[in-house]
Amino acid sequence: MPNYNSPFIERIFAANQGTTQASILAAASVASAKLLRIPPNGAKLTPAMPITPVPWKTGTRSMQPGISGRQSATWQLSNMPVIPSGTAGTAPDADPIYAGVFGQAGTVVASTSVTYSFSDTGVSPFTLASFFHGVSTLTQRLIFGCCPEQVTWQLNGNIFTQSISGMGVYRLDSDNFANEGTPQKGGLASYPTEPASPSTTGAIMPGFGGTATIDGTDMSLQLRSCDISLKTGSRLMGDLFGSALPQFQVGGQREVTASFGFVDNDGSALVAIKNLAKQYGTTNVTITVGTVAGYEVVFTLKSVQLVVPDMSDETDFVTTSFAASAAHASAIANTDDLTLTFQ
Amino acid sequence: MAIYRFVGDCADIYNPPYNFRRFGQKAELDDALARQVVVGGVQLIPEAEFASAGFTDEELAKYPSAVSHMTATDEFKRKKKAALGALHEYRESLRAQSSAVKEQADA
Repeated sequence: MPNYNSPFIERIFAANQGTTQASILAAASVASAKLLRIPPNGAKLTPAMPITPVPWKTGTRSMQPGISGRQSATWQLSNMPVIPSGTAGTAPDADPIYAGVFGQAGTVVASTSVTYSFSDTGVSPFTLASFFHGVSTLTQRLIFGCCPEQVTWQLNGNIFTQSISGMGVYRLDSDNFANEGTPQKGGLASYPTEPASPSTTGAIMPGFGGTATIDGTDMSLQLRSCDISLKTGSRLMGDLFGSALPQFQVGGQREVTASFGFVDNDGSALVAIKNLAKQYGTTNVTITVGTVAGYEVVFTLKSVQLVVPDMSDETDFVTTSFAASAAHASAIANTDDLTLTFQ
Repeated sequence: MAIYRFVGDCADIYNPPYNFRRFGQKAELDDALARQVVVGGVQLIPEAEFASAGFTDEELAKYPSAVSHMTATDEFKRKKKAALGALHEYRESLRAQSSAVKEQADA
């Protein structure tokens, strides 16, 4: 009898691959990978292996088998809880992913904070690996050379969550490893085994509770919905002559946006930002999710240009919604449109 | 094997299983496992480092979690900061050792 798979025995790991463009993956880095806490259906590791159809007339209306096209992979972590380490100055378990998102490792201040900020030139590729725990004969998968393209942090839910997606160089699996080409093996001599003794730190936290300082005023008690989104502008360059696989990350313009939904009122704070939006002004936004040291997640957005809000009826109140409003660098030479701090 | 103390809020090691839920929780760990999990984020420091922070049994009983630390005395907060400083130094020293071993292996 075969072993029948279950979604609940899967463990998803993330491993930092260093700071070089090379897509080489060391088995040791998988062994020390961080275990991510992901909900069911939360992780998708998808191979992109198109088949190029044969283009000529065969004399019949039937199709012929195609040839292999260019290869890559995509991945998606949906509604993944944001889990701080619970200790100021210790990076969260998702550190390899945040480093990948921001292009460099977080800055650690002992017993105080870990702050992720953008690097325009840095890269921090990582591996996502899926192991069906304890049954090594099931199909184990990994994507190496992962490059995040889009992140959304969803605030004010019962659980503070984030969704992150992007590209990877190639999706390997344990079943077919022996038949893979050298580039597809990503530098591995054998398929990695599941990390023997993973660990996790910190606990899930609510997406509510904290402060939302907009234009100098804490508006957290009027704020009902808020998403912060980031398009990294990074992608893997894949259409090169020498290889079917992507080879390195390239970087376009990043885009940070925040959207807000307020309970409409005539208080001075909300009126002030309504006016600011009409005048195309900019303002800084600092949102802190959490109130307990070790479980505070701070989003600092600079020069947010609020979109002129819309109003909509709810059952017993009116919502004023500022749709996706872009953050900007605070000055020409800066890259501080968004920083993410765990403290 | 050596004695370590937990200076975080909540952490788990899966194999062999350790569940840390109290600040100051004591555990005996294999040294290699301790090195791996501390570098990986688990907030453990050697017993001697913990002792030098000077926590009293009463403090550890009264302030077991991150939430309880919000209302802790300034004295406790000072000791906690010292313990977290020790954690940072310990983790960095383990990282440096790991890098040195890796460089030797690569050479």
